[in-house]
Amino acid sequence: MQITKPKAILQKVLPLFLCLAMLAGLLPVSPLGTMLINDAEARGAARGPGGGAAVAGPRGAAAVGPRGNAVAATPRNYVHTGNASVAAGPRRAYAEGPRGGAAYVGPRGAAVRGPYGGGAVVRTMPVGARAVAIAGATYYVASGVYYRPVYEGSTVVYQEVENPGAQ
Amino acid sequence: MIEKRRTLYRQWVPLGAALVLSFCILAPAWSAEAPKKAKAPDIEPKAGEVLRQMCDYLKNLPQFSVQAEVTEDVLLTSGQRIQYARSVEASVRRPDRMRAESVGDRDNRQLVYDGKTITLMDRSKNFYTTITAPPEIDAALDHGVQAFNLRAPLADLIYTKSYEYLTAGALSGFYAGLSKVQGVPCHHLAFRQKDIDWQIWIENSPTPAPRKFLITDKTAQGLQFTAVFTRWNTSPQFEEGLFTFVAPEKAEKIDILPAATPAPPKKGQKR
Repeated sequence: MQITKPKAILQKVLPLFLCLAMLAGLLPVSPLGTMLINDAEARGAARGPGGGAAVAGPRGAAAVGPRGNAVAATPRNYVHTGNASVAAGPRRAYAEGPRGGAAYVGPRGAAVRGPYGGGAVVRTMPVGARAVAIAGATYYVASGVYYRPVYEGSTVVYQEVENPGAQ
Repeated sequence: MIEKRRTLYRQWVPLGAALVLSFCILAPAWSAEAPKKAKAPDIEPKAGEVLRQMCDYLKNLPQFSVQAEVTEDVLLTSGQRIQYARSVEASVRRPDRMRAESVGDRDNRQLVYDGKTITLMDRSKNFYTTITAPPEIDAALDHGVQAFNLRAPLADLIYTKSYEYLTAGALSGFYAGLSKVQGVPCHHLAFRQKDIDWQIWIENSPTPAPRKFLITDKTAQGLQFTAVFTRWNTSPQFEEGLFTFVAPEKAEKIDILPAATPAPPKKGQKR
């Protein structure tokens, strides 16, 4: 049997192609593709204590914040400044978690985007940070980056800000 | 013609069958995500009864103070597990005054609620922040948790609706037997929730106060939080001004970040 005729192609090759394409995820309806993606996400995302996640994704890329919102790009060699601890009580949060996406510090001590739209939030200041008073308020400077102390939940953290002394 | 139709069948039927089969095999992967129907918690009557007695007892105390020794597992980024400790003293005067002090390995903090505002103070860093709050403890705690993600250690026990709150997310609970905590005879209860298991030891006496509380976080490698209540005082003499925050000299007032997404209220499993 030859499959050079258009009709024969339609009958033999097209269904086979459609079937394979669907399985491989090329079509919108793709059970296998869905499974593969879910699996990749599941492997990439270790759950953080806040029920969120605090992780590098499959390619070291995505970190999701504790309340499912913050997505910080994690640079290579990021330092995670928080430590996981018991996060839930029978009804609500009990103890400190790393607060997920809020707690990444870049390789040079610079923080990555935080969950509040504003500057990144870090739980501890980079080594070598010094306190400065500007307009009666305390700021910290590390590697040229300014931070302000701010409460996040019940904990004092440090949020990256523009140089408050700059005109 | 008949021959042609046969050929058609021969070509299409196996493919169709393969399609149907592949769907049958893979379809469960989709439906697995569908939420399961909520089941009534399977709580042993005696466990429920003892827990309710404790909650009713605490609810009806007009004022009290309690000291607790809290230990908490922490998982370092290296994977090593260590334990931190802190002492907590809470003072409560229903319906609208509360104060909590926490002094430990990693913190030295204070929370003061005066019926109008909640003030948080970090004594080691000398920063504080103040938020306005509803004029009643339950609502004020809810507001702080939902709008600002405040952590309220042991607040589950302070709420007037603590029984409902404690059992709301419970999948099951049972009475584990009699036990002693620091020499005090207690009922030992054990409950399960989706993400945590928790146990409570309740004094076996006409004053059924909690004596120990233990939470195991199943989502975080079984990390544990333990509170041992060392001293209950149900007729405390509160000093004037205990529930009023006075900023220490040189303490600096700072902002508090709003919760990114307010937690949905009144759900057992939400944080």
